[in-house]
Amino acid sequence: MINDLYSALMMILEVENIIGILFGLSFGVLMGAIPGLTGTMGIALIIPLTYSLNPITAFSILLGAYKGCLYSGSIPAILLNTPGTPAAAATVLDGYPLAQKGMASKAMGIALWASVIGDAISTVVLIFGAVLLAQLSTKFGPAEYATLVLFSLTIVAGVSGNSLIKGVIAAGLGFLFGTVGLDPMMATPRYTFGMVTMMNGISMMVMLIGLFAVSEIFLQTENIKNGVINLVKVTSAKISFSELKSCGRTIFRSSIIGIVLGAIPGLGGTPAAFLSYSEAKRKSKNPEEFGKGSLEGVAAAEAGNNATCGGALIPLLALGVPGDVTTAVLLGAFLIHGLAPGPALFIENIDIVYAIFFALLIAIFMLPIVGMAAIRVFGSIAKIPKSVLYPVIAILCTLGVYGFNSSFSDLWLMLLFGVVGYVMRKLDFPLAPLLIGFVLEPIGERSVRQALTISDGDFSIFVTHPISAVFFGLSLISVLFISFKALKRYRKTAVPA
Amino acid sequence: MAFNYLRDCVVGLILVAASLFIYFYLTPEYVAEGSSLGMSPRFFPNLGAFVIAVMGLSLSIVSIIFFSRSEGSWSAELKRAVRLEFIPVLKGPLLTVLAFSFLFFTFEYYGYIFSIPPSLLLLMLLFGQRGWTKLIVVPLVVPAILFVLFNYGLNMPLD
Repeated sequence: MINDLYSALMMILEVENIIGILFGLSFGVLMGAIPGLTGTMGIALIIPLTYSLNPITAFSILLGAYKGCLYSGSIPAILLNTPGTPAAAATVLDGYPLAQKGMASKAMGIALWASVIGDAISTVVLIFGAVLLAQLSTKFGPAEYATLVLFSLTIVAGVSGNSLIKGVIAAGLGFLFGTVGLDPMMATPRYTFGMVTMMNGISMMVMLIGLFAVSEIFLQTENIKNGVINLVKVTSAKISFSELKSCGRTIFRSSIIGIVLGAIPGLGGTPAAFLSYSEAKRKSKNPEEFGKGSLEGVAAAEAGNNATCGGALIPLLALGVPGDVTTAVLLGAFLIHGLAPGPALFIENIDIVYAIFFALLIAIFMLPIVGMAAIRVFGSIAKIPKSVLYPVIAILCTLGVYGFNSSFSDLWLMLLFGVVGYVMRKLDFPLAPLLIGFVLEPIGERSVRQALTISDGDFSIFVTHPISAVFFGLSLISVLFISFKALKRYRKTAVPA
Repeated sequence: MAFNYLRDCVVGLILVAASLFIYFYLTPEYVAEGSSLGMSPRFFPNLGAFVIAVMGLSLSIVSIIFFSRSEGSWSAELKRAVRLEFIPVLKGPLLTVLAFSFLFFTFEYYGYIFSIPPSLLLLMLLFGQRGWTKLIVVPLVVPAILFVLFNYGLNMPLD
């Protein structure tokens, strides 16, 4: 083992691999920070560039890009109220209000360091606990997924702002949008209106960009004055050690949530970010600050999101099962380079596995440097006049969405969601629950129907499996707690629940 | 505040109507019924519609209760709504929708060069840019950079 570790370390310390990690991180940060482009898209695009490279260098670039894009979605989320990645929609909730208060530097700082720490914790867990956690993830069957989704839906209460009813309506709407496409069990069309392009359902990126970016552009045209955006120019990520320390518990808790949810195949960073945020709000001494500019809120979302990196790599490396969409693309990269992730990888190519671990560790130290540089570059956004910035963002969103599938119907769908997002914002409906409902519906529906097929329609499957019963119980407790709080607030204040 | 309660009441009723439309028309028309095996493909769409209907009704009821506790009067708030004070605010977003539509239409039928620069110019004018230098330089330089970035940098053809 010592020999394998040593040879892996020597391999990764070669100049081309270090440059590969740096290039990957920079590329991932760029892809995640520009609205309209995504990290998954970026990784898919650079895979062909890695064909001629040796596997270690190739994975140094790809994993660097993966880490970079997980962090950088927070940059436009904080500065422009437009998440660069779906998971960064949780960062918007407190990041943008912080920026509006003139605390963009602090918000960027806490986002960066929470990302680094969350990433570091998840990488350490990956290295030491991959096999164990992979075994846990194999115990998740359809019933467990279904009740986990049910529990995850209670996140809606934490991100609904002042109106729980409006949050649940938004989640219901997201749920409905999630049913568009082919039925997961019978492959019959649902709400496709005869269009072939709708058979695959609504693309997450189309919805995200429309709902957040395009609706923001509409909002900005309401009072057109050719000024700069109302932000202080950000040149660095300024956060004091005491402020970071005050968020320490939140960051640690959110990292664990991110690791666990990332390790469960199919969930991804978005539920992890929102669940981390929701738990942070529940446990916070100042929950009323959440949604209005809380450093803890940003820290929770970013730590939870970035911790899914290590978590999602656990089932990929240990079982050959991708944890999310991006690791599914990485799985393709493994196969292209002649490596088969799974138990055999740990036996036949243990030196490559160790090299990957070292690459991930080195990337942790490079991320703050790349992140700071990105903040300097993107922080100059405040200098650009609105009349140039937002039109360019509009064009970028258009090209990004078109470039994803080369589909013009995606563009019209993006515009539709832009209108939906704008109307929701004007009527004070929160957007985050819609995204949560949309993300969780396909997973939940498929799991429920599979579970009921296995049990021949017997609903007791959800309470007789131990893990499923735990999540079901947690969901019930959560719903009762939320209802009690809502009723208490209804009686106390004049604000509708 | 009272106006918001009235607004929410109306929105709740609209949502109830929409979910009934989904349940009684859209779902039967555009979602096939399943076989006897397994759960129907209509179950989850109907569940979504049901949740929206119930919560929409709750929103209306709660809004009415809070409106009755507020200092507003129905007639005053209705007059305010009928005056359509919110219409001027919608001018910018509506024009932006048209600008986006122009962009997508020209992009699909005339290609990148004839759609992106004019659309960027249009959007900049919408956002209040009046400086001739920026109006000429930005719609020329930015699309060129983006074309190179997407076509050669990211290998995502825009033709």
